[in-house]
Amino acid sequence: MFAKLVVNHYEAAAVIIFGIGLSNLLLQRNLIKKIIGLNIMNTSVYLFLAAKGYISGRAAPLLIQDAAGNWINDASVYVNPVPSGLVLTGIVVSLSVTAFALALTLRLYESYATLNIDEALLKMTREQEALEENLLQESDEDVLL
Amino acid sequence: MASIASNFLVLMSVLFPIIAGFALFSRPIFEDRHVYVGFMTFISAGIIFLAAFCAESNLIVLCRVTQDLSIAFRMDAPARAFSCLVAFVWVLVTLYSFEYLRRRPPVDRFYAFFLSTFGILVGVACAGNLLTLYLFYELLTFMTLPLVMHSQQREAIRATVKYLLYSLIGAALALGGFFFFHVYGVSMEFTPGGFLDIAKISSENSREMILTVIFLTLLGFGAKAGLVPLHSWLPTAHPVAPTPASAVLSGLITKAGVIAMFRVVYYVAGADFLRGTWVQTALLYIALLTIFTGSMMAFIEKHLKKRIAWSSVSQVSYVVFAMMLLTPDGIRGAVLQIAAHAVSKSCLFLSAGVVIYFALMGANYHYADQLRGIGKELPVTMTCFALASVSLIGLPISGGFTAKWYMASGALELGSVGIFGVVILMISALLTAGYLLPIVTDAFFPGEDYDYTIVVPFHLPMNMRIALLLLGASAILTGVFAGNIIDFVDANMIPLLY
Amino acid sequence: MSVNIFAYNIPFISIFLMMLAAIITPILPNRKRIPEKLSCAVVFVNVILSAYLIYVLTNSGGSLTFNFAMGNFPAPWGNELRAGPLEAILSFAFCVSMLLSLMGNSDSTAEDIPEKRRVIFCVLVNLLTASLLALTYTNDIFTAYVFIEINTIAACAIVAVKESPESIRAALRYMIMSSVGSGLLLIAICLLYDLTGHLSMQNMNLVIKNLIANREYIMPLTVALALATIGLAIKSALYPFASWLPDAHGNSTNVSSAILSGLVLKGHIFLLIKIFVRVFGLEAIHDLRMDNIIFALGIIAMIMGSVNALSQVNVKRMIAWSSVAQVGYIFLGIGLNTNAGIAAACLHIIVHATVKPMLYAAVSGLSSAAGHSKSLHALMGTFYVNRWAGLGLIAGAFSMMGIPAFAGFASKLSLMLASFDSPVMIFSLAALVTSSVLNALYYVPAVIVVLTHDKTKPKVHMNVSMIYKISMGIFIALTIYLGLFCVTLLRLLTRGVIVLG
Repeated sequence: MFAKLVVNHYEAAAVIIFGIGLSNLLLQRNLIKKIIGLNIMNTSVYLFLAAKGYISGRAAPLLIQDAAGNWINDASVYVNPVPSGLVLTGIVVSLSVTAFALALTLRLYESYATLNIDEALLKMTREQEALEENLLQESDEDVLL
Repeated sequence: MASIASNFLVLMSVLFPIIAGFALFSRPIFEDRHVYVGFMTFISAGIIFLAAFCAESNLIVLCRVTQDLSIAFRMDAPARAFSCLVAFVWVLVTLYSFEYLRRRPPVDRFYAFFLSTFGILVGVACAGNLLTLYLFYELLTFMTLPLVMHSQQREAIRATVKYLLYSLIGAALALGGFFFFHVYGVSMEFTPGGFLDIAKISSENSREMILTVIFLTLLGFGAKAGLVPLHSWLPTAHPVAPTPASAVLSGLITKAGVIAMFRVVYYVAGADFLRGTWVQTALLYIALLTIFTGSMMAFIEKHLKKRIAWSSVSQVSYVVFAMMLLTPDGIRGAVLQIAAHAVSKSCLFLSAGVVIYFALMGANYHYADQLRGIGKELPVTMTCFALASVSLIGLPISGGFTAKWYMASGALELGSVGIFGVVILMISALLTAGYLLPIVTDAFFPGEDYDYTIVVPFHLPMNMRIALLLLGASAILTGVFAGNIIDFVDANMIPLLY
Repeated sequence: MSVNIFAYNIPFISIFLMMLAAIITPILPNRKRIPEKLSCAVVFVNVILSAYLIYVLTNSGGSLTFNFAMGNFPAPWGNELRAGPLEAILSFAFCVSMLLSLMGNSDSTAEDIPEKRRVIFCVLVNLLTASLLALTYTNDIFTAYVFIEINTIAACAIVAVKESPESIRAALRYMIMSSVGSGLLLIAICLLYDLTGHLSMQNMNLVIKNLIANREYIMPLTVALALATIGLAIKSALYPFASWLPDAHGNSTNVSSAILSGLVLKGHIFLLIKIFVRVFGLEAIHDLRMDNIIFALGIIAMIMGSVNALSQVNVKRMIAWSSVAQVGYIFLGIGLNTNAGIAAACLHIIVHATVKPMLYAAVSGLSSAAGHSKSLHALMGTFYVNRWAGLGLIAGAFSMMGIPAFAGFASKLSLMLASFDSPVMIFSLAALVTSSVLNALYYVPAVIVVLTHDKTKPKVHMNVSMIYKISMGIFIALTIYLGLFCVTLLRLLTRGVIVLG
């Protein structure tokens, strides 16, 4: 068990970081910290993918020349390029998600002057209660259901 | 009659009242709603009578849902008999309701649902397969909800919710049964003698399971008929409805539950499949329990409409008891009881309606002991009340008497359960006399100390008078002409048994 | 290739058209509701395209499916789309539902969203549709992930587009839960890629079959499957993970609620079905014991969703909780883990994609008749103001209760028949029956309220727009059509599920 962990230490680290990010995303009450958690989570996935794609002793998947100056077309010289592609895609995706989440956070801050999602909820329910009381005062007759 | 016209007639007898009812929601058709409603009810009843007497009894498929599921109707003997009964009572109740509803607006909504309920009830009667039956059974619940909560008082709304809950539990049980019958049936079409795949059931050794399913389905459909344990909505919901609605709820819509049970017993499972099983015994005992509970509660109850509603609980279970005997006399008794109870219970409710809301403005007589001397003011009404009571108690020559006579003789063939049943029937008859006759005697013979000077003669509107008299008379006439009904039953329904 | 070249290109064209529309929309003149009209038109074109695709696939004789290689690069290098009857039918249903949601709610859209923002809204709707279609057609699991993220952003944005503080908060909450879901899915995809070395679904399937046959890497496979399931369950609001849904669906504008309930949830569920059927295969799912968990969660969702809906006074929240219950039905079907069960689940996806937008459109019509109040008793008597909306509500309620001849009954019946051979039959029977009762307990009172005359209120007159009437009419017709004639559809879906695996 332990030996497997040592062999796969990149993956193990990635999973631990993923856990850290996930728990931040779920448990933090501050929205900015939540978004940071989201980014940590995504970053761990890049680590995982990069670790999977790397083959010890091989070159990056960009064409290189041998001593004679010829382009090497043999695939066994390079590491697996697909995970790198996935990481790039993932970065783009996580960037856009982060940007959007930050924009929403900004809007929430403008409305409630707080970054804490619980406080925002509290303020919202108070407002709604006030609204409902007004409504109740308006309709005092015996209403259905 | 050509087949296509006959099919059309059957479909129209279901659809016409529904369409006519919902037309009331659209733009005003007639300035005077009463004329429209009266006219439409009359035409619907005409179509239904015509269909019941002339239409052929082939299966009419409205549309296919899957290969073996369809919305289909069949005007067979039970459907003919029940549709005629429905049409007869409905016309009279509608006639009565015109005056009554003047004091209970909104008229439009009431009649919209009242008329559609008419069609749906006929749909329940002539459903050709279990899917159609289930569809119309559910629709019946939803269409009658607005009738129950007509007044929109808190009490009415509570009653509606209770009614809804019980009906839905019942329908859910039936739905569960439906799924099983779909898998264990040869087809889904009602077949005399049952459509269960006996070979499949015996090869899979699932006879006990199917019996349980049938039992639960019957209990589920029994919810509408006020069968224990799903009965307690009935005494709550029926009295809060406006009187014309209570009359049809008690007189006819409870019978929809009975019809559904009848279909399950004789057309889904088959009498042979059930005879002698624990399902038969259990249902007989449940019916007896309901009969006794209903009569006892009616005896104790002081509120007039509630008393009549409890009486329905007991009287409808007579039908269930008779039907579950699975003997020729049982069926005869069941059919007679359906007819006798439908007319006499409607008559009772309508008379109670007159007493409660018309006798004296503002002095609502809701309780049975307030009715002393009322017979002097309302002689016609109370006479009809008396006639209906006679039939419900089961005094000779009335419809109730013949029904109970056949029931008892059928029960005696069955051994110990039957003897126990007859004892319960006797006790219940005594109780029925105990809760109905004092009202009549007090009304006509208030006693020496009654102050006759306060009697204000009340003019009963002609519509109501006709409706009451016809219903009261037919409560007795069902007994007088019981022979003809028995002939019809012998010719058409006794073969279902074997 | 047994299909003609045009039909062969339809999966790509339909996705591409939606994306193109999203790009073009901002440069169009923003008046006379041109952006919305463009969206509707493009979705309509997609409806026709997918209808044609269904026609071609069912009449092609031999092979019912084909793979479309993007840029003609074959599988391991290029990106593949796959079209079979199931995909074609679902994309048809999604496009129809999208079109009707847009049309049926156009009045309330005009009221809720200021004209300036409506351009952005249309862009988002186009992107959302594109991502849904891509999720339906894709054969590559990483592409699926990318489109899920596009879908998430677009979906959150159309929640937030209403601009009220509570909808922003709901959008954020939705965003966070979605991110958790897609994060879990992403790591699951990475694990699967690590185990199989492939991203395209049928290649993964081959390797996974080998692994399971040799009993190798069972634990990592289980973990990957569980992570993917939980991730997608969060996104499709399976009960214990559904807390975000009522907020998001209840606080957004009506068209957003309709699209979110009717389509966005379904896109994710369909991806889950693909992962189950196409990547793992039903036997592997059974081996890894995921079917029972899904089944149990489905039943819990069916009951709890309805129980929660019972206590709601806000109609939109009530309908939103009812979505949770309906998602439970779908998961029940998936949890049966048979072809028939999954076909029934797909049928329920279609049914719900029709009925739920109809209910939201009906509620939007009714609440605008009641002066934009969303509480249940404010809707009293609104049937008489907007009859089309009232009829829609009644049809929707009947369908939810499972009254025969309405769509809900068809899917309940097929779920029931699918579960008859399984050992858990009695549970699904009990759950279906109980949840029908529960559904009725909150829909019937709503219908009664709507039908009840309120004498205290002044008589309101409202002009119901033609487009509303038309879309409501089509909705109701579809509901009844699905209820009465589902049998051919179900047969096609079953064939689709079989060839999917």
